[in-house]
Amino acid sequence: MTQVFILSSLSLMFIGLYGVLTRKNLLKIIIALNIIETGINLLLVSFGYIDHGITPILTSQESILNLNKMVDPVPQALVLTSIVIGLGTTAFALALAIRYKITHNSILINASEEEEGRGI
Amino acid sequence: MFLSVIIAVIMIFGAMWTIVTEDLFKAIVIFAIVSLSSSIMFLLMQAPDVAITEAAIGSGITTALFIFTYKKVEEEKDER
Amino acid sequence: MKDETSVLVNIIAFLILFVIGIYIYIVAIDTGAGIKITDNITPTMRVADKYLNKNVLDDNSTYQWGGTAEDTAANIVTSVVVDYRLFDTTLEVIVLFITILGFGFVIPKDKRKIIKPTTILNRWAPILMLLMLMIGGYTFINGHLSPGGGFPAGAIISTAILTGVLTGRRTISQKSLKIIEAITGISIFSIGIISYFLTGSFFQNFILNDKIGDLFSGGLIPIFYGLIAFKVAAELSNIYFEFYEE
Repeated sequence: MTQVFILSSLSLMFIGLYGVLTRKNLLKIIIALNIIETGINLLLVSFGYIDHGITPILTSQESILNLNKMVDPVPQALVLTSIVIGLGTTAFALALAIRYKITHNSILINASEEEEGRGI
Repeated sequence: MFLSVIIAVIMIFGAMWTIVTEDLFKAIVIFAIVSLSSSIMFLLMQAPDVAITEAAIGSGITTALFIFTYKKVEEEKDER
Repeated sequence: MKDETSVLVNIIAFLILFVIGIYIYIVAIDTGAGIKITDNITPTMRVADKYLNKNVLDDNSTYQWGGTAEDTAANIVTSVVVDYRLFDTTLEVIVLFITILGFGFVIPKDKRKIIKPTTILNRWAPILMLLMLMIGGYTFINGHLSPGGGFPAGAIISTAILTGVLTGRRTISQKSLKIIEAITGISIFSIGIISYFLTGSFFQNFILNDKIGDLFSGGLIPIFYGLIAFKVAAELSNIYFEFYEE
């Protein structure tokens, strides 16, 4: 089952990269960047998965007895902070997109600067 | 095992549809579905901490921020 | 808005990415020394062995359920994030602060009118705000016993303020949000400095003799998670206020 997780997260990353390369609308480029971010987080957590593993939370004495069937907790700890920082980066990119619309008066990336804008 | 294959197919199909479509509002809504499916994938990898965080932040806050920007960028409306 | 591009560029990009994707897949599975990730690697061959057995400081210690150990949180991911690798978490707090600082600088401040909300949203808003506060508070208080923690709790508490902003109820002013964010940020580092003077190393737990599985266990872990939750909630609420100036 690890194969399914690794293949799906890699294909998500490459679909997002295709979107960044070929689209012209700035908002759609930012959506594709977020899809790449989701794929990377999935890939990191899937490197710690073990077949038929259990959740790394202690609930009673018997979960201390089978400690070597637990899934690796270290990648989960790293991905937890990565998701929150991805949100901050997305907010910053959206603010830059609004600025771009004000100065160039169009949301496509091949707009020219010659026309006078009428402001938002 | 079949559940992870089904959720992976939904996720990849949704990501392909988001990039190809021409309407921006449709793309934002389908992006919320992709984020929710990735949260279910995190749960199938036995990581409930990460699943709660991705569901709260990806499907809730990021989609709300995209809709706020969409309203600021699309200014042309019909005059009443 | 339409965006169109030629068919040839699409096909060339697709083929290049496909070839690169196959190459990266073959390289990513190999962990070196001939072992692939898709074989079964147990945690005893990884770094996580010391975190699962809770014997980082002392090589032979074991623990029981209901007894004491060197780190008494029942959720092992929480003990990795807040106790064994707390330095990375504080650096993440600093990075988030700088990102929101840049956001507040770039966004254009203009005056917009807020549309009057509909009747259903107007009636339901106070109930939703109270519900979100309670759920967020429960999530970070039980961060060391069940999945959750400070980061999703901050996101959930900030949606309470988002609901208030969407219906025109200003429950908290922007100035007090900045004060909350500053005070919680300074408290995290000052607790670390106090623990340096008390025990000898930075961010070391100085509340001892807890039992695994209790509500009041985990030493300094619930305190740190509470401070992180309020800091993240204050920063995200600042984002909503900037998008909805009146």
